[in-house]
Amino acid sequence: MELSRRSFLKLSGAGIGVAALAQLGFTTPAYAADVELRIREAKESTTVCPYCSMGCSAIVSVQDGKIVGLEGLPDSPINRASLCSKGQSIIQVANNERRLKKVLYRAPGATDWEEKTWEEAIPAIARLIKDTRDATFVETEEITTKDATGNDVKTEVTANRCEGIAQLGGAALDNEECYLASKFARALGLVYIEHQARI
Amino acid sequence: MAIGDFDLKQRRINKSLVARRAREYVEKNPKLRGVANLYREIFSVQRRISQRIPDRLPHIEGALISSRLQEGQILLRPEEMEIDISVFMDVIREIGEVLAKRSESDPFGLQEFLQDELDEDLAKELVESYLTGDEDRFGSLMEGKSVSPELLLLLLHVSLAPFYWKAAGSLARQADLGQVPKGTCPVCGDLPIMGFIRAEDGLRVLECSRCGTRWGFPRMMCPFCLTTDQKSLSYIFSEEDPGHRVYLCEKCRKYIKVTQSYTGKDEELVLPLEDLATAHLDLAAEKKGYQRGCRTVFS
Repeated sequence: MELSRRSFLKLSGAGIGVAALAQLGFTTPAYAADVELRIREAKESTTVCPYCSMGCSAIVSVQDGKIVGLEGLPDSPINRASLCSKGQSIIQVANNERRLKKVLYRAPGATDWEEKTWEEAIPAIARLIKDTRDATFVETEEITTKDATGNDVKTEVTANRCEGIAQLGGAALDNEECYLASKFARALGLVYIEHQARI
Repeated sequence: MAIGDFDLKQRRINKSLVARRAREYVEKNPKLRGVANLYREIFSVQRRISQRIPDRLPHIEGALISSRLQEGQILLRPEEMEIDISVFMDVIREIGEVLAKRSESDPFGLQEFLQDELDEDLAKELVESYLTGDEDRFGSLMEGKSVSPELLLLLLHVSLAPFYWKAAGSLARQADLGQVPKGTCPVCGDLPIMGFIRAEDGLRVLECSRCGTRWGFPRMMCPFCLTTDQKSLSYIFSEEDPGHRVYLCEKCRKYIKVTQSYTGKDEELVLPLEDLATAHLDLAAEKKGYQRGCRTVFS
């Protein structure tokens, strides 16, 4: 790299050392090991442990679309790189011969599971939610209060409550997902809304 | 380990350790002999001369250190550096001789520069303009000089390093450098040489090319453009050398090499030699179209 004297401070970043060494006869190829390199590429992504309510972060290493490594994330102020024994095992959530990769359905009264597609499963789940909600929805209810003389007074009030479905959030959900999930549940009228982080 | 406390140990290397490590690297790759010896010889001069530099803290301490760190300012400002110019003259001449030994005919203009052109006044001005980044002044000083800009920069970088070691050593002991999201040295502001991933907790530690300070740097961040976009970050490694990674940034197209799975004491990991010994990974990254984002120990 040829540099003018007036501009070289501007360029005094990363390349200068390599250029100076080259002037002394040490070009990078001159001292690089003569090895046939099989270069592999990998990506690291962060994730949140799905088990307990702590919300520890981990780094997942992926090569060729397959998870090959998992370690605690040092950048996380929650766990500062450490993972408990259960957290260290979350790689098995993905790499596990027993992992379910297709929807399995067991009909009422049946003993065997049958494979279904998501195209079949999602409308069926929606149907069940709707039917259960409609069957267990409480539009109004009677409450009892006291009048000025102390006698019981029964009043019909609006409830709009679904008592047949409960929702449980998990630690793998982030803030925004929890917001959407709870919004959806409240829109259905659910009142049994819980999250693992409260346990 | 308390939350937020990474208990980061600074490097602890000496002449015999560097010599031993250099031999080990050369045994694995004989092509390294020349450049490893060059580093070893320069380090030897730096180390010896550094003993003549008083081990005292620059003018800042305590709360000022913390507030500068929090505000993202460097701890050691150029104007706070105390350079004894007579000691500097000794170190630059000795290192100049080490470099000049590379050739008998002085093709780099080094001999001429050191013998005929460099005096204390020029040295003082060069140091001041270099430290403060005063390009115009530096450019004027360089006019008509025999030595190439690259080599003069190398000389200044390695000759000032012992002064930085002393000042930075005191500061680094007082500062919490466990997790600093800066790609340049939080103490002196220079670029790193490379990094390593601590085996005990996966902390990525970078080492300054000038003052040797180590600092913890977020794993999921590019040291050069500071992006945290995980889609832009990846790394490559060689199947033959799984102990090293090259982190790539798609956004700024720069890379940094990192040692991992080091089994010895972290304090004794000689990263300048690691950097030289992993030159094959520089070539691999450059072949993929990425630029080196780090300096070398030589400048």
